[in-house]
This record gives sequence, structure tokens and C-alpha cells, in this order.
Amino acid sequence: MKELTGVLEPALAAVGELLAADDVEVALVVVGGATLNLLGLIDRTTQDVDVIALASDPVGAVPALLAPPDPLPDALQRAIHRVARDFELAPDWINTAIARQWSQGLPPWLPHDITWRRYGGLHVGLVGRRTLVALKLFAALDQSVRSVHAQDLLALKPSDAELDEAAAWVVTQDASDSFPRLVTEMVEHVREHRRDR
Amino acid sequence: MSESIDVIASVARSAAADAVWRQWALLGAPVTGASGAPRSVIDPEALLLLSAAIRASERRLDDVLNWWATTGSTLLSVQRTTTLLRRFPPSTRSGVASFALAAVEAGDNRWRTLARASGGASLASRGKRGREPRLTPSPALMLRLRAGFGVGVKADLLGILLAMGGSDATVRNLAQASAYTPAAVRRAAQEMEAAAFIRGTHSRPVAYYVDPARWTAMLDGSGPADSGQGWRNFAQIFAFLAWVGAWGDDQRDVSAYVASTTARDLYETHRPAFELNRIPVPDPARSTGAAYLDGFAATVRMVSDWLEANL
Repeated sequence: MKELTGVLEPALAAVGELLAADDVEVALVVVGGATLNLLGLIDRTTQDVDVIALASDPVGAVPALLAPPDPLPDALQRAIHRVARDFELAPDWINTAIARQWSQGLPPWLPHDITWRRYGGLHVGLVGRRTLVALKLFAALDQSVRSVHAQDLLALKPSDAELDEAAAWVVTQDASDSFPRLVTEMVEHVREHRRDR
Repeated sequence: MSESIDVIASVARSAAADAVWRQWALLGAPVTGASGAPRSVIDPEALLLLSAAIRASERRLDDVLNWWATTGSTLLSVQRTTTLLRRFPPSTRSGVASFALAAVEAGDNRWRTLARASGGASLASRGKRGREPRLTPSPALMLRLRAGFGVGVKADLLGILLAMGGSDATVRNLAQASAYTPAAVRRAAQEMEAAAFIRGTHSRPVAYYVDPARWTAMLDGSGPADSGQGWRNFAQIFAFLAWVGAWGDDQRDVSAYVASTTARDLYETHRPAFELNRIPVPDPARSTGAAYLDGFAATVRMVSDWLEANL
């Protein structure tokens, strides 16, 4: 398998060309490392494209009309597998594992925080810093401060306002008594180390 | 810069046209200008099918097909034609159906089922009748044996093994080469071995061979083993060339990547053709995305060169 980062845009363009050849259009919203790379926020390797939602027509509407992405449309699944073969990528290089977040709730501002890029029949919605900071903060809490999510969060150098907004949403994601304290500790860690980056 | 889809397809069409004209000329078809006599054994059904596949761009082939329908259709296997037809592009069917219609009209009723698909569309022949087929040149071996022993798996196995010049082949290899089922090949080979027409090895799986010297007198010393070329798996190669031509028509207006991914499909489907004939074409896994168009262009050129050298 090849590493995705170097061929991310050509691979997405290839999916879009296949969809266009089938006269199909699909709009999906992505988060994670692929978004960080495509937005130029962080230059690190990424193994997959995390799809958190599908968007309905009209693409580009604010707020976006979002829906859980499972199952991905058949034409998109065929295109993903074909591009995986042609670019030597993992079969699930575009996947919906992150879509589990729908069961707990998405950041409420997410439908307003999307930048769209078009690759033929594929519309890719890239979530903005506000959403990325919130999702990265939440993901970092599940792992150590040395995890890729915590490192991404530090690399984003979130402002105090961004951290406060993210923390306010993250604390709603877990009802355990200790959770708010963990959020506070992670926010303090980020505040302390972000300037070192 | 990738070669254009049109250029790739035209290389395949040119190679295909050259091959069929040369093979038909050797068989005595009413053609002129075919360059160089072939040396390898002609696969009659593969020749028919490739001719049917490219007749839209080689209109004079209808004259040849019409000539063959009236003089040589009885030397063809309808079953083998039907089996191999599945490996060719769908556009081949109309040409085969028109050929079958001409054969039925000439009195060979075995072609009636295939003729039904013609919808009455006949070959656009100018009525050139030509002479009787030439069956004695060594590349016509398979047709010659069919003329002598009847159309069927046994004549074809004997032809393939004679063309191999004493080398042995397993049932699996013979089934691949002949397009008959392994069961039919196995049964025929066992009976031919019992009749001492061919020999079997004591290895497992058993392999069969012939002693070409035993057949030399009957073939007037003109067996393919003497001509140096022998058997080539033309059916698989001809099907590939026909598909590349069809691919060129279908993919003319698509993006380079979409053309490249369908080219990869063609490679995967026809990989056994390259392996059977030992043609070392580029591996698509070495090219990323649309870059494979260059590899595919090289593949088609190598197949074309192989055909030129092995026909």
C-alpha cells in the first residue's frame, strides 16, 4: 500500500472523474488529517479520508444539510475501490469510522463551518478550524497527550476563544463525573504547549 | 505526456488488420497486398472472430468473410466459435451473425442459431467468389486436419500438439489453447493415447505430446515443426486487440484517468494472454493513476511487435 498524503488530491480527483463518468454527484464532509492537509493547516502524513457526513443539494448551502454517511452511495463505493486499486491505496482509504460521532452529536456550528472543493462529480466539504479544534480536543481525551490527535491540536495553535468553545461542546459528550476535569486538564496542556510549537 | 487513446487504439487496430489479412491471404482468400506469409498455425475461429470485430474499419473483409462462408465454413467449429465469441467485444456479434447467415445460405445449417442474431443483415460483400481454400501450407495445419479427420476436439488437439513440435502439454494447457473444456480435452486425449495417435507422460498431471517424425510423411514433410513457429495462442491475443479497438471507441471522450482505469481492467482480463504467450508487458502496479496510460500504450505496442514476430 502506498501512503495517501502524496496522492490525496489526485486520488480525490480520480474519484470525482469516475463519478462524473457515471453522471453522479456526491457531496461529503471530511474531518481529520485529510482536512488538515487539504486546508494546509498541518503538513503530516495521513492514511485515510474520514467522512463524517453526506450533504444534500444544494451543495454549498449555509447551513449545510447534513446526514449520516452510512452507507456511502454505491457509485462512490465503486469509485473508492477502483481508485484504491489504481493508486495502490488501502481499500478503505475513504471511510466513515468517524461517523459514530452522530450518535453523540456533532458540534452545532459544523453546518456553518464548511469550505467546499469540487473534484468532478465529488464535492468535498472541509470543516474549518472551529470544528477541527473541537473534534481533535475530544479525540485527544481518549488517548495520551502524545497521541496524533493531541499533536494535531497543538499544531493548530488554537486561540483561547477556540479552546473555550471547543471545551464547552466536548464536556457535553460524556456524562461521567470526572470528564469535565479531564477536559480542563487537556485544555490547560494545550494552552501551555501551543506556543512551543 | 501520455499517448492519446486514439493512438493506442490505432496501434491495436493496425496490428489486428495486418494479422487477419496475412492469414486470410495464406488460406487463399481473394485479397491482394497482404505483406508477408504467416508461419505459425492459424487458429481458424480466432481469425473469423477478429475479422468480424474489425470489419467496420476494414470493409473489404466482408468479401473475405463471404468467400469463407461459401468455401470454408464447414471447416469451422460452431461450438468453438460460440465459446471464443464470449471473449470478444459485443460488437463482434453482428459480424459473426452475418457470417453465419452467409454460411447458412451456402448450405451449412450448423450456423443457423448464430445466424438468428443477424436480423437478416448480410455481409457487405461485392460477391468475390475466389478459389478453394489452401489447406496444405503448414500454418493451415488445423484446418487441414479438420478437413481430413472432421471438425472436433481430436483434430484440434492433434494440430496443437503437432504444432508444438514434440513438447508436451497438460490437459489444462491444452484446454486453454483449444478453448474446449478440460473434460472434453481429457476424454479426447485419453482415447487418442489409447489409439497411439499421441503419447502421455507418466508424470502427474499427465502431459501429452506427439512424435512429429511419425507424422512427417503424412504431412508431406511440411509440418509446422519444420517451419519453426508452431503453435501460438492467437485467440487470446486477438481478443485483446479487438477489445483495445473497442476501448478506443468507448473512451475517446473521457478523462485520462478514466481511460487508464478501464485500460487496467483490460490488462487484468487479458493477463492470461500475455502469460500464455510469454509477452513481458508492463505491470500496472508500477504506475499510479492515469500514468498507466503510458504503460498500456507500451503493452499494446509489445503485443503488436510480438504478433509481427510470431504470426
